[in-house]
Amino acid sequence: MLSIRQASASDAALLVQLIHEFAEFERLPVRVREGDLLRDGFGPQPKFHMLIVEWDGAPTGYAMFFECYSSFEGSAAIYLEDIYVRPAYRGKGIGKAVLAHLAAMAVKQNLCGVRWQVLDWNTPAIDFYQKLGAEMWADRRVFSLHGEAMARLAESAA
Amino acid sequence: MLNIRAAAASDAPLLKTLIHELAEYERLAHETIVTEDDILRDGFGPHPKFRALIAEWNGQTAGYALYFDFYSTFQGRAGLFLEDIFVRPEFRKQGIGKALFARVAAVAWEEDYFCMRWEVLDWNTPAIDFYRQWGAEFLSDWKAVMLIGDALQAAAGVESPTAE
Repeated sequence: MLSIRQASASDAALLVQLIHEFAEFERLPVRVREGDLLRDGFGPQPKFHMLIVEWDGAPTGYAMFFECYSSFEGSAAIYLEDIYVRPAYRGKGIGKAVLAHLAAMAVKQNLCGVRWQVLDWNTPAIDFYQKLGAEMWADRRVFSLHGEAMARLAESAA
Repeated sequence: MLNIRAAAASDAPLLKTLIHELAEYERLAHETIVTEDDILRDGFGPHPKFRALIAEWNGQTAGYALYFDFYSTFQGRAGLFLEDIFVRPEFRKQGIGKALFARVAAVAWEEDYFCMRWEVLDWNTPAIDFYRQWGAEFLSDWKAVMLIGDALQAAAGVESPTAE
């Protein structure tokens, strides 16, 4: 049976493990430690929230989200940054259950929506999101500036 | 002369106007419902949900930037998400857009954020080339998705309110 619950500080070790699995799956570098999650997620002003998904009591995945802001709507929204389901538990509707959970949270907290990103070659996911009625902003692409390049631009600030 | 300053609560009417101008430029004016009260409540209360900068050229309002915090679990650190950046048409080509970007990068650097992130329209090749020159990484295979309105209600398993 599926259960979705808010993560707490005592889940930090499990979360680090799940995040590392997810990063391995996406072949992306990862450097997060328990101390980072404890400091940023479970202090007085958390920078993010996490859900832990369990199937018959076993951890099967997680979701991480934070509040973003839509200036056009004049309202905050949920930004779903990570969603991960362990391979053995896929095809059971867990992803849809997590999205529904977040959508319900957004409605309850009077937030204007749930926003996330998808890889453009992941057509099954895109089809799935479209069936849910999600809008694809197909012409919006993402830029990221970090490290020395960010420092260089910062130095040029008037 | 260019002056970039942090927006204050007294700028709420101005920010509302600038947001509507950006929406009109992006042809999303019909979907734009932000009010001064929204801006005051969400930007200038005890726990602001965003921060904004106002750019002035010789004392006249030339543009704005609006950003908020995001988080990377892989990095275990927060970044800045630049949601809006807008320069009024009559003030373009004077480096104001770049100066606004640079100011947000300076905030990120000084406040120890690991990254700044933003979105660009994929047909806007001059902008894409411009950002690449700064060493920004173009995550070209990601698309943005938004669940909003009736679809949000439906996904939440909640009855949609009757349309008016």
